[in-house]
Order: sequence, then structure tokens, then C-alpha cells
Amino acid sequence: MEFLRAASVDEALAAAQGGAAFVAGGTNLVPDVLFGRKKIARAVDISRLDELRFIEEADGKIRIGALATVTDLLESELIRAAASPLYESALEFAGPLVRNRASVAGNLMDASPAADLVPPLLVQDAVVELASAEGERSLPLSEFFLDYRKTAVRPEELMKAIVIELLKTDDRCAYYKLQLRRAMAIAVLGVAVVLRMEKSVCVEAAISLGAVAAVPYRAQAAEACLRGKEVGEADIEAAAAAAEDSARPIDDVRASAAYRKKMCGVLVRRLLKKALGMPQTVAV
Amino acid sequence: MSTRVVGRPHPIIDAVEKVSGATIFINDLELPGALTGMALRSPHPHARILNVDTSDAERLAGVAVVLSKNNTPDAPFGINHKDEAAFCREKARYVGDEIAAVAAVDEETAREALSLIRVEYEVLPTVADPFAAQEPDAPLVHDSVAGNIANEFHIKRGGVDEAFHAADAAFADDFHTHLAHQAYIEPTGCAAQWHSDGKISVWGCLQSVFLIRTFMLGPAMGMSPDDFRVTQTKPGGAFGGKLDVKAALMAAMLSRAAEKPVRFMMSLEEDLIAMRPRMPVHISLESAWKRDGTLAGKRVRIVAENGAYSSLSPAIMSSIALRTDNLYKTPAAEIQGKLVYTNIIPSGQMRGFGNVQATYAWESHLDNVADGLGLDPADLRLKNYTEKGDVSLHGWKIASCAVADATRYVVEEMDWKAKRARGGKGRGVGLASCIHVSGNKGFSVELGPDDTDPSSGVVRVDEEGKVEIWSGESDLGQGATSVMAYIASEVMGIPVDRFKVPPTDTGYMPFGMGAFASRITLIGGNAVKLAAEDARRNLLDAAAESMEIPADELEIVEGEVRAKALPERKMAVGEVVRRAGSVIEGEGKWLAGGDVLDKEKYGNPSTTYSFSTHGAEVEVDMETGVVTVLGICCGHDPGRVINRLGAEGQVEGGVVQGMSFAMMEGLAPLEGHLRGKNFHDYLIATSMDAPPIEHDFFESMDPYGPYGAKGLAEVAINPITAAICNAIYHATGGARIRTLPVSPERVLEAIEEARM
Repeated sequence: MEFLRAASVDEALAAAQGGAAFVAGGTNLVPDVLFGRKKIARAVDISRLDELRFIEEADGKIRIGALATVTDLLESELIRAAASPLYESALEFAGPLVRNRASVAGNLMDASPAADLVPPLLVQDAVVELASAEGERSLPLSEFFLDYRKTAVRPEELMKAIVIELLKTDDRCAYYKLQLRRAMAIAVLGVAVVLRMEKSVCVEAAISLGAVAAVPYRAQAAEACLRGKEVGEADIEAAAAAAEDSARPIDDVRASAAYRKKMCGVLVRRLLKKALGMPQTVAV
Repeated sequence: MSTRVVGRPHPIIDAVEKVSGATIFINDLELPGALTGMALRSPHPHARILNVDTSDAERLAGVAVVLSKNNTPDAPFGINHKDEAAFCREKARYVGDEIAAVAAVDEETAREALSLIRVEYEVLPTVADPFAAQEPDAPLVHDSVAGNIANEFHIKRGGVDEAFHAADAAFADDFHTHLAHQAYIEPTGCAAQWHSDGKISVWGCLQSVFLIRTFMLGPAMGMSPDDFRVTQTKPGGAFGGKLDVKAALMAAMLSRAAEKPVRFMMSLEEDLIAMRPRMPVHISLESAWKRDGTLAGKRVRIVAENGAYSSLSPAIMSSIALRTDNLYKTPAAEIQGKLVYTNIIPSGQMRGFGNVQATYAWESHLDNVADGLGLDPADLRLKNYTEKGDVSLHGWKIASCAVADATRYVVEEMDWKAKRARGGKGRGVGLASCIHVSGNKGFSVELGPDDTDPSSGVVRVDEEGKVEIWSGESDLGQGATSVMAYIASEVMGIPVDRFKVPPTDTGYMPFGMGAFASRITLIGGNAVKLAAEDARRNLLDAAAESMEIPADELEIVEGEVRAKALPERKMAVGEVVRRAGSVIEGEGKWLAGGDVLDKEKYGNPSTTYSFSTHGAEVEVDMETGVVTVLGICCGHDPGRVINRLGAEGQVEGGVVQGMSFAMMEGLAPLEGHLRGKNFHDYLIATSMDAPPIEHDFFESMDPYGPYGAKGLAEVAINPITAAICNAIYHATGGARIRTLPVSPERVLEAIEEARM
């Protein structure tokens, strides 16, 4: 394996012509290479490109640099205030040692259906900024994942930043990761919801699900049950049912497909009620 | 009796060495010119081996030797059945079975050599299910073993049928436990060095350095056990899994063939698929009761999953079958056990030796019984517990017992009555108890020299007043060496920091059976105590001569020999040794009490028995099945606490390890392939999962134990699974977990089942 350390973004892009794996925290890539799950001809180390490590507010949006770590998310007032599902997912992400190294961009590039940060990024309409020696382009996160562990990123492209919409202070949101232990666990299910309210009407609804299909996705049918409505029990039940319907999970060592599917309904119902401050079916 | 050292909190004696990184573990052990040994393992659960072609691997530069069935003798070995060989011969019987091994100059070369070995397999149908395995047309794991039955027994004692006939109520339940690894932090590895006189030195984290020579190395290599010098390296964890370590055999065989030292270090992933995880078992229970909650009799049927090879599994099954009958006054019992071969990783022993599984099943069943009889589960237990002086149905003699005190403590500490009265709505409490041996005489015949279950020790005092203890018993991380040092320090009046207990070495140390069956504190501790008393006598005799004061007028205080009447007349212990002209020694040997069980498994297997009660409080998410353990409260009867810090560590470690086993661990075999084969998919509890633990010790002052001490390691883990499951049952208004682990999905299924 050829290993290059880039001193600038331009150098990284030049080195990646013809394809390369960019190394940031290496928390996925290094074990993948060590255990033979990935064969890499050329690795370009971008971990010292400090200009890619930022979390900032720009043009009414949040820009998260490709090298921002999960710990950076937790330490950012901006994320805490205007991206609370993302903040909560960062709290549940692996453990402190991994959070210190793992980059937000890496969690996307790994393209695991269970990637913790993806459902919260999806509900804030994330767009990724990609660059190559040829130029730059933007890609909505909803079009980023093509299939299981497959992305639309071209081999020579570097993710420079992730841009998300700001949540407003009166947006209603919630996040939950169902996991089999309290740290260092792959999600059985990840759910994020954001509801934008105007008076009592839900004008915008975003519901995303992770680990219940080949890629994390927005549950659009479930969202449609809420949008434009004064959301009541029946709408929530409809959204929960639609979310459950939309799931295409698999059986694996963590849970059966049937359990995951069922939990889509349970958790969407629960998170919607939590977001709206409605009483729960069972005490939680 | 007032004590100076015993019962107080001390750090383990090598704590500083360990936390500062100075300890040499097996993977740190460097042998000049050592080759790297690695094994080629079967990718198939069950396959006939048509051909093994190692010629390309042998030709690879840097490869010293390649071993397989082609160039090794057919020398079967095994503790209970000789059903194992160093390398697969006619068949591979599980994914991970050793097909061949190489020794090469480095890891890369060894790995490449493995890839050059060509094996022709004829894949055979997998025997995965222990019930299907018994069907007449089932494929056979071992062609000569009909019905895939590795072992079976049927015992009936005390008029069982009459007891059920006369009973006011009877209850029945089925339980199934899972395949779970010991998950020690140190992957298994061994090193070996062949010597030109034909002898071999072996190093590794091994629970019994003496016995691995007799049950594995000697027979498998056609050598005498005395041809091996086995030295323990400092333990990085074992939990029962490092008793029958095949890596020792691999290293020794490769070293002999290559005539060079060989290091055979397994990766964590390899360890998960090729060591001996805790035996899975199906337990069917029936019990008969009087209306007032008096146990009248029970029936137990066990189908235990042996996996591909037997090792100690028949003994584990026996432990599962009989153990819980001795915790309660059981007038009658009928017990059937079947140990079934499958094409899954051979199962084995882990902390509890079957008792974790047995206690989970019986103690879960007891709460169903309490529910059925309308009694409080704690009261039901208190009514039936065994007591000091009892001889159980199976002949166990209870020399000391404080289980009732432990339970009363848990009940009081947890605010049990109030919480039981509340119950349901997703929150609940449960408890469970256990009995465990301190040593098991049967092993002395199966593994050891004879029926004495012996331990011996030597205590040596040098000219600087430092003391070294040689014991044949191993520290596997449980703190055995510290216990020995504290006992000897107490006896000898010499401060603990002067003591050193080197790792066990068959080259010069006296014989010991090793670390299993919670035997070391009792049996090893008594041997060391006798040795320390002997050394003290010899020191005082030598001092009497130097100080010209009769020995019976002398005492040892803080490392100085003093005249009792004239404290200013004193001499440092080192000075006594200098004047005596040589090291002053003491020797001790202790033989365990109890019997080897007869053919009907009747007899008293251990000198004495330890007890514990664990209580758990849980919160259950009724919609997702996610269980949060809010707190654990437990009481233990280890006879007497020797080292309070060490004992607390045993309890906290045992409880969390048991909770981890109960709630998330699992190798999760699917058609012979393990799914939990790395620590990504095989979950063990983290510090984030550990609940607050309240506990205390109830010292029954055992008449046979050193200072009254019995074993603690295994009573610290056995009951927690049932305590958690009983708390879930209480919290959910009847969701009974019959299959482990307690995954959210299973809890949800049980909640739905309880609603029907």
C-alpha cells in the first residue's frame, strides 16, 4: 500500500487522482485494512489538514469540516443549540477514545447502514461538499448512499465539508439509538425526528431511520402523515405504521428483521410524542 | 481471633508491577531465535479431509516446519474421552479445528505458508442441534459414537415418584443457556523451547502447569510428563478457559519438529473461534411442593452441548445436574443427563463450571414456583435452604453455611418487601442464591495424581529477611498469590511487602493441581499456611540458638524476632537467617477432604462449600424490551475474607461478568458458524453498563479453611443471571426469560407471551 501525507487540500487532491482512500481518524479504515476487509492501493493521510477541521455557522447553515471529530460535535455550542439530534447521537457514538479520533466525514464515508451520525444529519437536510482536481460539487446526503456500503463519491473525490440546516429554537426534535450495550455498540436501530411547527400546525416533518435497510434513509411516507397537519394521536399512529412499513431490515447477530421493523413503529411513535410533549403509551 | 493482616484490605501484591507496565505477559516473552507458530483451521463445521498437501508451504523460504496429520502420530488425547488429536485426521469437526501448523521466521511468512497449504475437503452435513443430533438418521460427529452421545447418566434418589404423587403442587419449566466465551483480556498464547536432550520448556498463562503435562502434552506427543518444564507467565485473564490450552501443544510440537524455540500466539479472533467457551445447555425442571412451600422433590433433564470434543464436559454436565439439589433440603431427585456431540466449537468450563447455567435455570424456576404458591421468593428460599451440619441428598456435607444471612441482608438492603409490593409497571426486583464447591475431588482422579486433591507449598526466608512462597497453584488473575502472601505474613509476623510469590514452575516448585473449582484459597491456602508455620518454627529455633533464649519465649513481630518478656532483645529475621548460614525453609502439604463420587454420583465432592445471594433491581422498557439494571445487592459467604480488597474485586468482577453473560454475550452459532467471532459482534459489558453494586460478606468461619476461608471466585458469578431474570419477571408481571442472553428482543417476546 502506498501511503502519502498531504500538506494541503490541493496536494491531497493531486495525490488522489486515479483514486485513493483518504485517512482522517482511521477508526474504520485501519481495522478494515488490518483485517483484510478492504484492499487499498493508495492511502492519502489528510489528518494534518487543519483547515478542514471546523464547525461554523455560515449563510444561515452549519458547516462541519471533514476533519471535525465526534468530540468536536460534543464540544460545539452551535451543534448543541442548533443540531440537537446530532449532538445526542454523538453522545451515543462509540466511546471517548474513538470519538476523539473519528471524523464526522469518516462516519459517512464508511457508509454503514448503522452509522450513528447519519439519521440526525438526514433530518437536517445535510449536503456534502466534494472536491477533486477537476472541481467541486455538492451532493445531498439523501443521494449519497447508493447501496450497502456504497456511496456516490468518486474514487478521486475528497469530502471537504457537510452542510446542514440550522434548527430553530422552537423546532421539535428527538433522537434515539437502540443498542445492546451502553457504549461501543453498533446500533440495532437509529431514529431521528424533527418537526417544524407554525402555531399548532406541523409545516415540515423529517423522520430518518438507520440500520433498518441497506442505507439510512428519510421515511418520506411517514413524514407525509404529519406535514400540514395539527398532529394528533391518529397522525402519529399513521406515521409510525408508515415508518414500520418502509423498513427493509435484515436478520443479524444483533436482532432479527422482524424486531427491527417493529421497533421502527415503536420508536417513531415514541419520538414524535416526545418531540411534541405528548404523553407516552408507556412510561419512558 | 484477632488478625494483623487477614481480613484487611490490601492491594494485590504485584499491583504496582502490573499497572506500571513492567509485568512480562506471554506475548512479551522473548526467546532468542524464536520462530512464529500459526495454525491452519478448518473453515467447515464438518468435512472429511481427503488430502492435505503441504509441499508448497514447506518450500517457502523462511518456513522451518509444517505439521499436519501427514507427519504427526495418531495419538488421541482427552481428559474424559480420548476423542481429540493434535491435528484433524479423517475429519474436521468444527470451524476452527486445527488442520495444520507452521513455524516460520516471522508472522508474514507463517501466514503466507498457511495460504499455500492445500486441503481437499468433502463437506459433510453439519450436526448443529443437540436434539436432532440424537435422531437415528443424524450424521455422526465421531463415526464410532452412536447417537452422538458423548456421555449420559440417570440417577434416582429418595422416592421421587412418591414425592410428586403426594405433592400439593408441581411446576415445570424449560431453560436454555447460550455459548459464551471467557473473554479474558489476554489472547491465548504459549511459547516452547526444545532442548537438545529431548526435553521441552513451555511458557504460557496456564491454570495448571502440572496437569497440562499429564492430560495433554505427554500423551499427545508420546513423551513423559516429566520431559516438560512448564512455567506460568503472569496471567492476563483466564476465567476457566486456560486449563486445556491447545496452544501449548502446538508450540511444543512445532518446537520439537523445528528444534528451535517457537512462539504460538493466537489472535483475539482466533481465540473466540478455537478455545473452550462456556457450555450451552438445555435444562428441563419439574418440582413438587407442599402447600406451605416445602420442597418435596424434583426431576431434572439435561441435554448439554458438547461441541466437537469432550475435554472436561462430562464433569461440567454432572455439575449442572446435581449442584442446586444441595443448596436446598431436597428429599428426592431424579436426574438425567445427556452430553451430545455437535459440529460446533468444543464447549468447556468457565467460572462457575456449569453452575452459572444450573443456577440460572433452578433459581428462575423457583420464582415461578413462588408465584404459583403465592409465596414471597425470598421466604420460599429461606424456608428450604440447607444448613450447617446437613448432609444433602447426594451426600454433600455442609461444614459451614451463611446463605440465609446473605439473603436476609439482601432483602433488608434492597428494601425488598416494599419493592416487591410495588412491582410491575416496568420496574422490579429479584434475587437468587447458589452453592459452590471449594475444590472438587473428582478432578484429582480425572486430572491429577490420585484421589487426594493435594496442594503443597514451600516458604523460604533469605538473608535479607525477604520471603518467597513456592506453590504449585496458579494465579489466574483471581489474586491467589496475594492470598498466599497474606496468609503466610499473618502466620510469620513478617510484613506483606517482604513477600514474593513467583509464577508457578514445574521445574522447581512443589506439586499443585492448579486453579479451578475455587480450590486455591482453601487447599493451596492451607498448604501455604502449614509451610509458613513450619518456616516460623524453623526461624524461631534458629533464633533461639543465636539469641540464647528458648524458642517458646520468642515471637516474630514486624519481621523481627523478639523475646516476649524482653521486647528490647530482638533480632531481624534476615539476621537470624545470616547467622544460621543458609536459607530457612518451611514445607507444607494439605490434602483436600471429601470423596470421589461413586458411580451413582453419590458422595461429598468438596471439603466444604461456599454460598451467595444476589439481588437485582431492573427497569424494563415494555415496548422495546430494553432492560436497565439499576442496582445489584449481594451477600457472600466465603468463610472468612483473607484480603478484603481482593474479595471485593472478586465480587464486583463476578457480578459484572455474570451480568454481561446474562445480557449481551454470545458466540451465536448458526449452522456451525459463530457470528460473535470478534469483539465487534461479541459484546461484553463496559464500565458504562456496570450498575452500582452494594455488597457484604457473611463469614461462616469454616472449620477446614485457612483462618476459616473458603472459595469466593465462583459464588460471585453464579446467581446474578437468575437474579436479573427474576427481577424482569417481577417488573413485567410475568415475562419469564427461558433462553439466554436476555436480549431486548427476547424480553419483548416474553412480555408478549406473558400477556397471552
